[in-house]
Amino acid sequence: MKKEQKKLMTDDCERVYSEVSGKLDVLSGATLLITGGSGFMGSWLCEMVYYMNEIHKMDIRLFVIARDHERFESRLPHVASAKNIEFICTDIRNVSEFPREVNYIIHAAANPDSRFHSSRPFETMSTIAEGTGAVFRAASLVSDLRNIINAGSSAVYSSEPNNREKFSEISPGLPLNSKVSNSFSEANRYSETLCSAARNELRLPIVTIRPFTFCGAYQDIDSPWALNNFINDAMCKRRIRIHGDGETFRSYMYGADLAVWVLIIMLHARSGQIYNVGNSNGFSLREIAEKVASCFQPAPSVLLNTSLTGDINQSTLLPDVTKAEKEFGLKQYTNIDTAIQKTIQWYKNAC
Amino acid sequence: MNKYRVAILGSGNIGTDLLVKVQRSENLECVAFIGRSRGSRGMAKALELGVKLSDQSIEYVIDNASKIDLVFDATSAKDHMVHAPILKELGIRCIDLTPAKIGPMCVPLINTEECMDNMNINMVTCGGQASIPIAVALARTHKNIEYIEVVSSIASKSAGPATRSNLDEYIKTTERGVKHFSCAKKTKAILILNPAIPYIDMMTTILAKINEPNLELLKIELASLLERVQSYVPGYKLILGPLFENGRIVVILRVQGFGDYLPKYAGNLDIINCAAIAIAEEYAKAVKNE
Amino acid sequence: MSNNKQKILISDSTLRDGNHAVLHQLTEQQIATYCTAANSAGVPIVEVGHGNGLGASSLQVGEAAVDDLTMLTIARKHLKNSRLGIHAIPGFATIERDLKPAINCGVDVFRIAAHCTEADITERHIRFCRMEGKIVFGVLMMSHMVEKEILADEARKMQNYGAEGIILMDSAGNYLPNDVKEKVSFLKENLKVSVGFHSHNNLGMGIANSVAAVEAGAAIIDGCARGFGAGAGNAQLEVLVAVLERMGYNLGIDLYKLLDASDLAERELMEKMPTVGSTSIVSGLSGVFSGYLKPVNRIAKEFDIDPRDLFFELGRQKVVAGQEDRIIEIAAELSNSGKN
Repeated sequence: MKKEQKKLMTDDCERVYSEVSGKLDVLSGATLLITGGSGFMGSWLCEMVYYMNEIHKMDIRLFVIARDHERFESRLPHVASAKNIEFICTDIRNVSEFPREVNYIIHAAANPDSRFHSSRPFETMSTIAEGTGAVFRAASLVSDLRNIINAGSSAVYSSEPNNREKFSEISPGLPLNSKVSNSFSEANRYSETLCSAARNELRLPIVTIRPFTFCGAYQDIDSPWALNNFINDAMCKRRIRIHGDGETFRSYMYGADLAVWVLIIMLHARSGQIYNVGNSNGFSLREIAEKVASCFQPAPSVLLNTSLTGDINQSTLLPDVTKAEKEFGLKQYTNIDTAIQKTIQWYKNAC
Repeated sequence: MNKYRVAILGSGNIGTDLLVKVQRSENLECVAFIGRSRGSRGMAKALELGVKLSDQSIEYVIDNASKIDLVFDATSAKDHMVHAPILKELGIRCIDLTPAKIGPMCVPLINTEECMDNMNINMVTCGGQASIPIAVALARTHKNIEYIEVVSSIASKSAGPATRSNLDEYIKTTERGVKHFSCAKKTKAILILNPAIPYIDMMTTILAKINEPNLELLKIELASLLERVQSYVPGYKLILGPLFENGRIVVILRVQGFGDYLPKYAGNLDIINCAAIAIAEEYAKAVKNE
Repeated sequence: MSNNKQKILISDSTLRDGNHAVLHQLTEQQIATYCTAANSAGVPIVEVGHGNGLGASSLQVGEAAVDDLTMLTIARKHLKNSRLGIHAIPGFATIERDLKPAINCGVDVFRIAAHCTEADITERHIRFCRMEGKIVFGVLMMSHMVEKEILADEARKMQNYGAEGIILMDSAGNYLPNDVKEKVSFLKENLKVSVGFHSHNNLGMGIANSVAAVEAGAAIIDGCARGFGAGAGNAQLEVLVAVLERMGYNLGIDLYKLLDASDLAERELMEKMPTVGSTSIVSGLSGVFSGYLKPVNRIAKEFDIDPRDLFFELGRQKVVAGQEDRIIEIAAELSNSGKN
């Protein structure tokens, strides 16, 4: 990792940690296990734990499980070589035991990329369904387990076209259908029910989170999210193209905010609860594109309605995160402008 | 009598099919079937066959280097990039079944000698294994071949996710392989997936542009090469040709799999494994003769 | 009135699909002339290339008279306002060898195609064009072969990879208007992006099917001047435009100039006008790729068999586009069984 990127990362962790440090004290001396450690959420969690150990000597032991060791090492070399952190290279479906000293588990092994869900629907469902089952069976052998976070997805909500409402934890779920396009959503819905079953029968403490949309380091620039597309256009010195009229609404939570939200929910939430995780403060794609443009010199122009066929799809994907905010005193620590600037900075440094 | 000791790295479908083939060999013994997890279906099959298992990946090879003569690497291109230097350092021969392509390309009976001198060889592609013997027959009977084209159609079901996302690499490697072995001025590869049910067998057509083609000579050369390929790929059959049609030479082949672990229609996967086993047998014989 | 109507995008395949009709022998001069005419008529997209798209010139499906890059460079020069489009099938075309140079030639619209059940082979190619900031459509070929649910699943893959529209090709000319309505409307319901339709005229339904597609919600329609295309040809572009205008759509195309362009196409591009010949009717009924017409006729003659038998057997064996080698194989079989 380049020096500028590491500096950016340390600054981010510092800035967000300082706002919530009191809520994270309990993590001192504990042992944490993260599955999906080389993904977006996993990488940010590793960075935050690494920071807390390095700067605040919190002595957190971390086990990271992922399939691809090289990817983890190349993305997070400093974390991979840190002394309190151990990497376990395996397919999550094949896990049979966890280290006995584990106190907390964050299960974040599902790939959120819709292109992967399209090409590999069976693999997607199998990883989520069998992987989550394997995690719970292995967790039931651990002696001093305090909590498990099951990182599900906002895909369990029923998204009607032209919906303008924010999704709260009690919003309706998907209607029953067995279409292949629902593979990822159905697998997540199954995994949530599996949590209830495992709590009941295996007596495991489990909290489900439903992550929405994010930005920041450790997201590939070609990820299929609007913000990444805009940044890519601008970085390639092209005009920023918006397919429709720009009145689709999205929000982005910054990676560092996500990391502390997940850790705090893990430390303080009661078993059986479900929390939306994301940013409730939405912007239209037009506004987001303009924010991206303003980070570049000269600023690229923003083109609306670039679709040759004039089709417009307005949709809103915004979470209501009141529940987590109220219960744990959480808020957005990185506003959208800062988040976009920092995301762009990361991609520029990566070049 | 001591058999040649091979280890199979990678417990997916390819590795497991190789294992079944090794078990049938008189010259080869599988001393370890190595993956990353004991939970996979390949491991279950290996356990059933009574083969020594390991979930320690390349670490197992490092710890047991003295007990292994050859490693079949059936993991992924990315993993092979890590394994190759380690195996080289350990002095263990490697047959690379991934698309990493570090060593020279190998087609058994065509360039066995070259393979003997190299510690790491790769198996080109399924289309390459099927077509290169024909391309070589063309090259042995004709000078200055203008152009050779290789078209393979395979059952959609036999094309796994890795094949599907690497069509470009398949084309590039096959074109390079055919060019290397035939010295044709230009080569082209095309791959077509057909979803028909019942699943189609792999079909490979070799099309060539040659000045003054000598079909009689080609027929004789082809017959001898076909027989030799059939000695290690039983399902390799000439369907039509050589014909001279519309200004081009046409040879059509069909490759049916042996149905060891992989299903019979997956001739495209079988031919690579058969070729890998054939070359391993050559290594074994060479050692025995020393 | 027409303001309330869905915008229809016309994509002109004359210089791509038409290449099938002349064994891919369109010349530089012909490409330049037609591009100039189509451009002045205001045709939105002009597709250019070998009949099977980029990287397809081969002994298998026919060698083109002009190489891909020369064709694209000439077309680009003569298309001042119209967008330049290409067709590319992974398995023939690769990113490095074909798509990158096409981008450098100034191609605007990339139509990435696959057999209708194999959309996942287009992922890398669609993503690549998308990252380059290009307009990408996904194309499902031979779409008559599977039911609407499978088409929707495959189309959704292409949509998720980044395609801005999904075009159903009736590559065999096998559809009747009701089939078109059923499939197009189902796709329209199940996709976020636009749906398009590309017809062939084997059963005389080229225009009728295009109209049915528009009525079912399609927003992209392909046509060729004088119907110049594989097999019995495609929807005749100038008729299509006239019909759609009569239906009240404003296409932004100058009809007089388009009629001039199609006269020019008839004069300059074609050996003969596409007709629904006897073999083409059988080709359409048997559901075989329209581009097989010429090789089937040639090979049937060589093996002394009835081309109609050959078409029905190819259809029965469910060959897909690009499997021209099977024509010879099956012809040889038929010829042998006839002798016995």
